[in-house]
Amino acid sequence: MKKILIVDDAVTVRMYHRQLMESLGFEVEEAENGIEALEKGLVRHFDLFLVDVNMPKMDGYRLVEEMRKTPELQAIPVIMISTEASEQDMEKAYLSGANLYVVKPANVDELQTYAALLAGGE
Amino acid sequence: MDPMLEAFISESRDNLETAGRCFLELEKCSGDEGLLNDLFRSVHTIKGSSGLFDIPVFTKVVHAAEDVLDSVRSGELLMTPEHIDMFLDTMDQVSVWLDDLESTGSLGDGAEARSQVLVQDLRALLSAPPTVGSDPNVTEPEDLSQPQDAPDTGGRLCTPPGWLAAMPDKLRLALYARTGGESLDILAIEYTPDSQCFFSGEDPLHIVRTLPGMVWFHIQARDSWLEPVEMDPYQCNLVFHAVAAGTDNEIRHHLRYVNEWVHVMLLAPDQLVVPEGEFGDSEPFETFIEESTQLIEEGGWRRLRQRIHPLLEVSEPGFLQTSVLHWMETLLKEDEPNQALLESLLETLRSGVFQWPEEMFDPVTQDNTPSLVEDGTSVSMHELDEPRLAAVRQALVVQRHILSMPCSYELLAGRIASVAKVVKNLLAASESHPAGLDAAIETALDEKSPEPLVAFVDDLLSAMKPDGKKPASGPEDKPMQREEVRHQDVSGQQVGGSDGEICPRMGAMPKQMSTSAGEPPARSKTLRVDQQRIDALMDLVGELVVAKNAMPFLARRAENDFGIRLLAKEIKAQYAVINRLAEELQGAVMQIRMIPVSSVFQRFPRLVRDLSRKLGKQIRLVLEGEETEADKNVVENLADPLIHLVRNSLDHGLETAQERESAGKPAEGTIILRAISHDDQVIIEVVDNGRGIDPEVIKRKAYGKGVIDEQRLDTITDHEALQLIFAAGFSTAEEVSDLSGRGVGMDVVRSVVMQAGGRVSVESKKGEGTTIRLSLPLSMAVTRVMMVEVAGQCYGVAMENIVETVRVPTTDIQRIKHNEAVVLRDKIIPLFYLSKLLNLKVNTASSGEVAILLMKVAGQEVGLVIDEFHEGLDIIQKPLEGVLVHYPWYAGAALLGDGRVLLVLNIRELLSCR
Repeated sequence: MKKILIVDDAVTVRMYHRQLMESLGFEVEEAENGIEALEKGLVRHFDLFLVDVNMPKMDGYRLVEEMRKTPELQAIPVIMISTEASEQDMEKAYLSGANLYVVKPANVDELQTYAALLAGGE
Repeated sequence: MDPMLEAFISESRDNLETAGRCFLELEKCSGDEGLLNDLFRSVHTIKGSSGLFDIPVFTKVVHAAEDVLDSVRSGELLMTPEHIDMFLDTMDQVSVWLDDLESTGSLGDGAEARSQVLVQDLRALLSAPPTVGSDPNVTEPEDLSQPQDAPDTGGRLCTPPGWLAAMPDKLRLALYARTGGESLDILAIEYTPDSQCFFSGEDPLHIVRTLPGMVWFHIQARDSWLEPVEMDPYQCNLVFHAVAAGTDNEIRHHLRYVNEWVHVMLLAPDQLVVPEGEFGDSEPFETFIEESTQLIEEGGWRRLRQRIHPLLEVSEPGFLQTSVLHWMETLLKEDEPNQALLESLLETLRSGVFQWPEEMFDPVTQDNTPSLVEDGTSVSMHELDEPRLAAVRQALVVQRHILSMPCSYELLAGRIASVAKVVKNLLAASESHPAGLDAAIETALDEKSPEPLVAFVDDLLSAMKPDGKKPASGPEDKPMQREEVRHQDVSGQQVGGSDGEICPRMGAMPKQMSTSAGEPPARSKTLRVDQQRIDALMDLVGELVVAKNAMPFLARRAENDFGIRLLAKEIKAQYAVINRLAEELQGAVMQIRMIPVSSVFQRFPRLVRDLSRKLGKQIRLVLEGEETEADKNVVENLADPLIHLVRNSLDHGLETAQERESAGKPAEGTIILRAISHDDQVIIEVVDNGRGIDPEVIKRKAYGKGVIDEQRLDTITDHEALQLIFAAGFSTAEEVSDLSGRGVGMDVVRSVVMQAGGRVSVESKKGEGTTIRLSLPLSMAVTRVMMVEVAGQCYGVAMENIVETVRVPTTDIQRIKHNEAVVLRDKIIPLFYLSKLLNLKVNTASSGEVAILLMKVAGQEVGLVIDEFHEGLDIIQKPLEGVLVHYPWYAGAALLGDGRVLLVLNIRELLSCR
């Protein structure tokens, strides 16, 4: 089963994304911020990270940058999810190493499709 | 309730609390970046999460607040106390909505209207960025309430302020016409004077009227007007909007003294174009629309003008169509009319809604990313039947874009690795396995450049072009059946970007990913539990405590009734073990229920701030011992009395700055809110250094109101006199103010505290200040009572009221008038017979001695004559229900270990209805 790590500081959002991902048949784990996500990612393999941008302690950009610098994590696909729809935010996400940028609240089909694609199947 | 909504509500409450705290601290140190970030994040999270539910009204408000905070964070907006007031109001409203959501599942009535007002007010703070092309986040189309004054520009660049639509069409048309000939700066000015501006000699109206080149201005109330009684006419509650045509420098120079309160924004002439009026019958315009569409495309400006002219002749003023025609005519006077704008206006004729042309404010997407946008559209247009394939393509486009972006050396390896992984996954998902991917990755590694991958993806993309339909090298086409994927929908741009410089080098690429499986990391450390569950647990523990009390009875029976001493001993030994466990369990559960008093203290900074502003006093609030913990119920019960006490101190205790200075005290008054934990009590003190209470005044008042009689007036000590402020029907305030008056006095405070099993006392020194002390039990769950017997019945009396137990010879009892009393340690103690108070049979069998329970009731010592004392015990007191509710002299009931029910007496009530 494919494993997904949902990184978001908002409980509600994590719950929502968990529902979406579990309905695709993914196994889901959650992290509240970048640091927790790195810790979890280092002890267990994930097929995809869903990452929020604005988080305490370590935000999404920093998290993805750290991932890309860390040999164990650098190849994991990342979908970054943010409320910001602007070009600059999107560019910043790609620059930091995200593979896809989705504006939140995301279209359900869209998010599910992309998650399934980037994780390499359902 | 939907668990997700539940989570949202509780999470948002936490975030609101954080936000509230941050606001107050920001007021003290406005520049604190960490605070601002915390604040922004908490509001941001509320907004983000609210988007998951169908509450757009709610989201809009929080979004507006977030936008304002964002510009504060980026230094564009200075946060003033007025802003904070408004934010706090907004947060209050959000909190009310959360309550509504929790109780009814929807926002209350009038939420929409309220939301609009709040959004407008918040947006008014923002006004517009000073120059074209600055912060893109300031305005977003979805949040502007009316399409008319909120053109849907995509909000990417400088959007004209919404209030511009309030400027009459005619003036705008005239102004537009002027820009043709002269070189003019059109400036939109939003001026929100400091609410205290009248005191600093500012004359906002004069400033606005004398603006150089002023074309139009209008005045609005910032907040809705208060009732005339509450309104402070010396506070400026106005916001001025003006449009001036002059030079930027000139106008900024004019406004230099009020710079802080003004937003000036440069408008392009085209931004004046906002047709207004009612959308009338569109039928007469149908032919015109058709012809003009053609003409605009061809650039037949002259003929278009000829078409407009006769139509204008017959159009009535006041209709949207007329206004559109006027604008079109005006635009056509230019040598090279703005084609997009004309098209937009024409569209308005069709639909009745005016929208700014996209590209007018968004040159970025236009210039930089034509290919991506084009690709995206073409894919979704041609392959909607295969949405999955479209998504694959889209994702590939993004990966290609990512590869072409500039990159630092340390990130490059990761970037290539992740993109390679994504491309692999994408291809696997679309079940195509084109040769060459692995080779491309390897080459990329060898050459230390993303180029081979870029080439590979490019090939793939061109093979997937709509005409190709699928990856050329893929196997049989298997259309994937999935729900339609919508691109470029409400959620905004999906992908896009611009070509950047390509990084020439790359680091080593990892051969494989680490799959080391270790211990799963620890879960989060806190748990949110419904209070009801804890209460249920507490109840069970209570029953256990009671059940365990049965064991000593059992031991006694074993010994006395069955004569088995050894068994009795064993039961007792076992009891000791169970007793210890039960007590520890009880302690543990109570520990769960413990919350820090800070949850109540938190609301005071806001309260003190608001009230001291309102009262015009300078007051500093000091919180001490916030981390002190007590049972949740106790802490919650504290809130109301504390608010009352703090208000009292603010209103009556602390003097105004002038009074204080003339009394030789520092101008700033201080209120200390202190929590101390002492034995199994938590003590809360409200200390102020105000004018204090004069015991003489209290005495006179108390006598005047009949609270004490003449005799007591002579003998009462100052300390005792002070305690009289808690007596029922006593209020020292000469006049009832709207803060602490309202007809309830300190007696209410006392009764609430008493109900929670606590005590309250006051100390005060005239001219130096007042301290009010509340002592509360740490936990209300377990009460210690003494069992007393009267007329063969057992009753419980709360231990905390009992001073001592004494037996005195009947001969010591003296009669004073109709009452009996006894002298104990030189004090006269009035005696009451419990049997008489309860209307029970009086025990006449005299043993020459009476048992007296010496108690402190309402600050006075009294003796309660009973038949016999029994042991003290811990009980879980339950309130009486049903018909028994009407017997206030019973505080409650509890189950005893042997199954009997014990009634607990409320001595105070019992004595008051004697």
